[in-house]
Amino acid sequence: MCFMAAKCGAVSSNALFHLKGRDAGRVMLKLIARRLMVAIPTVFIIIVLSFLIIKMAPGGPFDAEAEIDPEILANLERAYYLDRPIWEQFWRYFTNLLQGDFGQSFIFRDRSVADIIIQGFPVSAQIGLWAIFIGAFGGIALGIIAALRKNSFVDYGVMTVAMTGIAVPTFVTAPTMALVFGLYLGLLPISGWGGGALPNMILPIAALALPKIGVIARITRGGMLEVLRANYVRTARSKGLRESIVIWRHTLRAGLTPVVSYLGPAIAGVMTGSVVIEQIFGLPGIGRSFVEGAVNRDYPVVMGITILYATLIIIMNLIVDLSYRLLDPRVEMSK
Amino acid sequence: MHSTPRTDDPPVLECRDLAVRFAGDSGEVCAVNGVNLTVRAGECFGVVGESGSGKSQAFMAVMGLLAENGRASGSVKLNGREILNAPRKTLNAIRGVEMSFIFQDPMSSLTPFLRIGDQMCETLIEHSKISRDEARNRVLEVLEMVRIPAAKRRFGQFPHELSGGMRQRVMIAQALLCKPALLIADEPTTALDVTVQAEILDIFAGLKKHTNTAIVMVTHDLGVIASICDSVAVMYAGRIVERGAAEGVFYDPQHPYTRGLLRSIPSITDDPNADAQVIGGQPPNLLNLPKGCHFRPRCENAMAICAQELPPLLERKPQHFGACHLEVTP
Amino acid sequence: MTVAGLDNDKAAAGAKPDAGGDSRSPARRAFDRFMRNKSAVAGLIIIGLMTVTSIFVPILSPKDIQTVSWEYVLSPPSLETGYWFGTDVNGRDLFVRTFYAGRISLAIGLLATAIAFMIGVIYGSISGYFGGALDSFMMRVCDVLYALPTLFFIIILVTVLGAKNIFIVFMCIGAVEWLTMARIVRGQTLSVKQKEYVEAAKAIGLPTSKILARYIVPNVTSAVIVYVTLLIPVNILIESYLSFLGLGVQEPLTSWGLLISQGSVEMENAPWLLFFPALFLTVTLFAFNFIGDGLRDALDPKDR
Ligand SMILES: Nc1ncnc2c1ncn2[C@@H]1O[C@H](COP(=O)(O)OP(=O)(O)O)[C@@H](O)[C@H]1O
Ligand SMILES: [Mg+2]
Repeated sequence: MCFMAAKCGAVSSNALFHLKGRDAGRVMLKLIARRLMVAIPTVFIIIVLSFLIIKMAPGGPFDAEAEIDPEILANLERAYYLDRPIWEQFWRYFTNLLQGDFGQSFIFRDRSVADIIIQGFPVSAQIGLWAIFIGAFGGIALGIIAALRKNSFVDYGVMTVAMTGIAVPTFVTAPTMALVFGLYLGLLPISGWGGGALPNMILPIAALALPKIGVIARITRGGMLEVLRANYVRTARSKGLRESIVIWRHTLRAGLTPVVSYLGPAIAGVMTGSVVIEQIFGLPGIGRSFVEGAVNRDYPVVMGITILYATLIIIMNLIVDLSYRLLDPRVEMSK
Repeated sequence: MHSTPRTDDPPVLECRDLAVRFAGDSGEVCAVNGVNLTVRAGECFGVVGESGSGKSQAFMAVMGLLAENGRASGSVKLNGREILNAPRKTLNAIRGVEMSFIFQDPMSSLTPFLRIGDQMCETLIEHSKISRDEARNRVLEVLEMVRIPAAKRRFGQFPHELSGGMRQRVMIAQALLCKPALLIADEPTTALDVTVQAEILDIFAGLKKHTNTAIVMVTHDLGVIASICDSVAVMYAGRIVERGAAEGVFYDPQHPYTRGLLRSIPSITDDPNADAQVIGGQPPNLLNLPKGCHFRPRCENAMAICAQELPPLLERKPQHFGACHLEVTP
Repeated sequence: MTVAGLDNDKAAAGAKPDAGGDSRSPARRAFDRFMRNKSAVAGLIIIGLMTVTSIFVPILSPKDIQTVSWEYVLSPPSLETGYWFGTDVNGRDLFVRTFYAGRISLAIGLLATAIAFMIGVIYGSISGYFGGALDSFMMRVCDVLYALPTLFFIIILVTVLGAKNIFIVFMCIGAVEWLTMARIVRGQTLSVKQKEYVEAAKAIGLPTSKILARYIVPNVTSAVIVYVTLLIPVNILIESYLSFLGLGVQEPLTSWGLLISQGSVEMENAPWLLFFPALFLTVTLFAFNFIGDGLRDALDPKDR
């Protein structure tokens, strides 16, 4: 979504110290440690928060089963410790979580949440990573071309395509592509995972990649235009360098910094599955498990996936922070 | 004073009727207009004028570095060859080789994420078939020429690890790598501390003494002009209003604007508490220049004709030009 | 030995094409720049038309959103039958339904944005104005919430709150989408609170709530105007995602997302059911994005 560009903070450029050689590795470790000291409480708070929200919800998971015997209900609740005080429930949940046990699904009583995640995550992650990879490649290329030909026919063309990618929602493009390539042309299957067969993956990946291409093209163009105005690019030109060197060596790194900021959370986002895409193409990913869990009040599943997502986001943001260091030697390491 | 270059030397830089226009939101701005100047080998040519008078843009046009909304017209000859609006390829063969530019702000004019050495070597490698080692040696040699201590260490550092003065030295060294015939320095000392300013000027003085490079020194600091320039052009609202040998312009200014500039220099003999006299009135608005002489609204000697006709730049003393309707002072 | 008065920055500014010789006020100039941006103006006109038609659709067509006609089930778009956009499985007029859906989608998009705007401005200005420990705490809270996936979070909220009505839907969207707004407002507040008029207001002992309401909030809201405009299409999109998944607007009401979801079920034999709602939703999203981009360029011309 286009407003994402606004979220991308610029790299602070006023920090004026730099470290070399051996020190750099140590500083990096320190930075990771410091970030983790913030990240771990954050994950903890998210666990508490989602736990509380779900506990506050009116109605229990077994409400739907209307004719359920009160005695069986009581047994069920005991089995899931729903009759205990809330802090005890939380503590039990939390300590289990630390051992990698996300609990049992309320609905599929023979399946653990960990099972559901282990089965669904590879599907979601594969689709998502391919989509973001294609989105990054396509978007960066288009964005650079647009920036270099600013206000030209090419630029307007690229930006129109990008805007289309952003404004047309996936639940419009996905059925349309299914209709055209699946039903009319009969080229590709329109539903199912097929054990990860390539033809089954093409449409979901394409539908997911289109908006990413649009967003990344816009961010790239903005970043590149900003840098192309920089004094040091003028210096590079004044030295008589070929335009290709001016672009590759003197602008790309700084121009793509906003893309890196965007990619971090975006990768976490696509890896946990596109709720809509998985629904439309009938993929057994965790996005679909999440929606089903939410609709059925299957709280352990919902919480498990939320926690997974939040953890991924935090890890990706850490990676983004570290890569700023590689992109720009001025970046402050102390924060 | 200085050894004045002989006037029959072939000119290194020759601008004829140079003009720069910018397309803008509220109309076209003529930032530079009808500029004629000649710079010869070994000469240091000063360009002075208040901020916004078109000094930088005139030489950006020479370098072919105008912003996208800018258009240059007229003629610019470098060593006798027309280069104004030349194709990028032609310009790239000249920039950094035959002419170099030193930018005003050393803090932002070096690429922040490339090492000093790499930024400098790439210029050499771009323009000559030279190995990396040879390039490195030449870079170290030039870094020492501009008196950068511990040049070897600087080579591997990033720009932000250097002080402003050091960065400006790097800029100068970078400009000198290919021994250009013309060196244009755009306010090379403005962004620096006073003590550093003197050191940088010293480098230019050394250049002048030891090489035959033609130097264009853009500045708004008359002190810089006085210390190293042979000739001066004074710019006002995009035009040259006075041009001549430095001594002539200093001791016998032909334009009231120049006189105002000279008066506003605080002198040591003055009462230190008294403010230097500043030229009164508003700087000119390029979008809406007054008819006639552009300086008229601020001029103490304005006459009726000044509101009607733009005074031409005429030779009022031998080799000393001024653009003013006032009679030549005897 | 620098010439006094020569290195006067104002001199340069005075000669800039944007400032000098131009008597228009900055707001007026921004407005003119906006009006010269063709796609932004087109966006504005489209949204205007869409809103007006949605409001007056009962006058335009005698049929109601639920008027069922069994002779025309899944009848394709046609001028003769009077069903310009065709009909759905229940023989309901898609033209009417699309505009009724537009009402709901636009309303939810606007209301959710308004909620996000209110929370963001209040939260951000308080955080920025008081600063110190309160500020760091409030920003920490933002950081934590940022790590929560937006759509996931909204889905949890919507399902937890149970009652699936449009009130819940836009409240939930608004309650999640204010974070960036709060950050922008906080940053702006930090600079506004240094201004003389705020200092003066403090000096004469105006209560903090009044200072916030009278001096801070009006001055920081302009900074988020572009973001607000771009948030509207995002929220419309989120609403349609929810409705598409069956978690948002419920029958008998309808929204574009819901229509698209119903349309994609029938897309094989009645593609118009997918086409028209998708077209309207997409055009609306385009229009809002164009307006937002136009505003940004108008307010910050350097980006062009
Ligand atoms: N890209 C541009 N677009 C419009 N006007 C410009 C542009 N660049 C410079 N100018 C205008 O040209 C005039 C001359 O600028 P410049 O040559 O930089 O002045 P200075 O004498 O201080 O170096 C200024 O009034 C400036 O506003
Ligand atoms: Mg200048």
